[in-house]
Amino acid sequence: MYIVLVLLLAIVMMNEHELFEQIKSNNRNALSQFYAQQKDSFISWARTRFDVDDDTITDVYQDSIVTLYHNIVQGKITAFDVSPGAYLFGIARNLMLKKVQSNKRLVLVEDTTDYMEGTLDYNIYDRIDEEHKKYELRQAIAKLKDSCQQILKMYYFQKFSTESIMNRLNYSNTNVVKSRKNQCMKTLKSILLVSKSK
Amino acid sequence: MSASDYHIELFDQFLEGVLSEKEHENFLYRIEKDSEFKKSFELHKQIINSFEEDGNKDLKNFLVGLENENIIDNPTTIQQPDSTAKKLVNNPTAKVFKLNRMIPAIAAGLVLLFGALFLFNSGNIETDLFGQYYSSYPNDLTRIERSENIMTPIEKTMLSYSKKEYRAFTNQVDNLISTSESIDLKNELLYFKGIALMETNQFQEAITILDKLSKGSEFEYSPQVNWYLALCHLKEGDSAKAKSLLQNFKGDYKNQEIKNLLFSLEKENSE
Repeated sequence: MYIVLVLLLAIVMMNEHELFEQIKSNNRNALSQFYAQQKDSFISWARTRFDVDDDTITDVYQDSIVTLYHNIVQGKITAFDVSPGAYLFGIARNLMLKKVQSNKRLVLVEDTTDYMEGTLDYNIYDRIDEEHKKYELRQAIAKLKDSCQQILKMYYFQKFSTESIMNRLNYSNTNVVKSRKNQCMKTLKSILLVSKSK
Repeated sequence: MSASDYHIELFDQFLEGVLSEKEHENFLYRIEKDSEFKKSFELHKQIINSFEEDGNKDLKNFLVGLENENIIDNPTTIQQPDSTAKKLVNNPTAKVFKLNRMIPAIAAGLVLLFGALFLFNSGNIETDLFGQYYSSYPNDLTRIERSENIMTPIEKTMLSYSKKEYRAFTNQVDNLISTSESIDLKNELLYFKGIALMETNQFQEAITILDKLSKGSEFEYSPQVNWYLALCHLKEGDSAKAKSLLQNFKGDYKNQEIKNLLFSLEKENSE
């Protein structure tokens, strides 16, 4: 019986590790499944704690998945040392509190001081709201060749290592990846300079 | 390494926290004393932020698309290799695989679980490849550089596309397509509609449009049409069709990616 339990624990840990790696490598299918698996529990949990409509709950739930992904690729979460669902709910709880507080519709008083508050990044949505101000930058990125956009996205958004990019894009070595990445950044900066000087 | 290459590398190393203590101190000193260096670093951070924001927004749109697909689409059309997750999204009665609750069940069926894990790992290669190769196509049809109130209807519609408001875009673009007298413009707008449908996970609808365009007369986006059509088939699990399109690819677009994707598909077939 003991061996079976050890085996079961190993399987659970293996799956959590695998899920972590799949999310980290931007596997949308794994994210979709994780999203679907946790959604009902999250909605039931949120309904009992916050006076907000289901659309808001779904919106916060989606933001929580994005934040979880963001924090994994940023290296702020390096492994699921509690269950993935617990991480997600921790993030969701803080985002929900922030949302409710900002709407001044808080009905259940909870504070946001928990074990994750100091380490995780909750500012990404404030930045998304300012997107229109960065229109010029996005236009410059759109003018880059697709191959440049791809390598920069892999390096700066997906946070893939140069070795991983080398394998994914069939480059001969990591120095070529670095050189290509730097070249693309230089091109992007020069496009920006030209558009600003116009 | 040129001076600007060195700066880019140095900025990245600083942001990744891999500089030595002394290098880190030197970097901060330079930021404080050298305004050009500081300006260049600020721009570097803005660019990275922009990639992060776009990426996060893409992911959010993907999740919104999962929700919308379940609300809007006819359930009978959702028969894709990875449709399980989509079906689960809005189906409160669906049985959800939760490891912590499944431990007793796993005990009763270790072999079954290994089988399921094997299937899970081996059944989604097309979707994995799709995720690896898909990136949204930017609006290069119109240059949106003036205020919204003096824009033409096409510019206004394409603004929705640029803002990644794909559902609004698909609603607006149909009107333009039906009223446009230019075949080329119709085809170009249909192409962007196809991409918008992909962005909202409506792959069957995207295939219908892109397939028709690929069989029609050549126009500016013909190579792009074939690339995205191949990706749609890949997403739908039809790697044979995707492969065939890529093998017969004409035009100068994504040549390296096509080579890499074909290599991956052939490798999968031989395993």
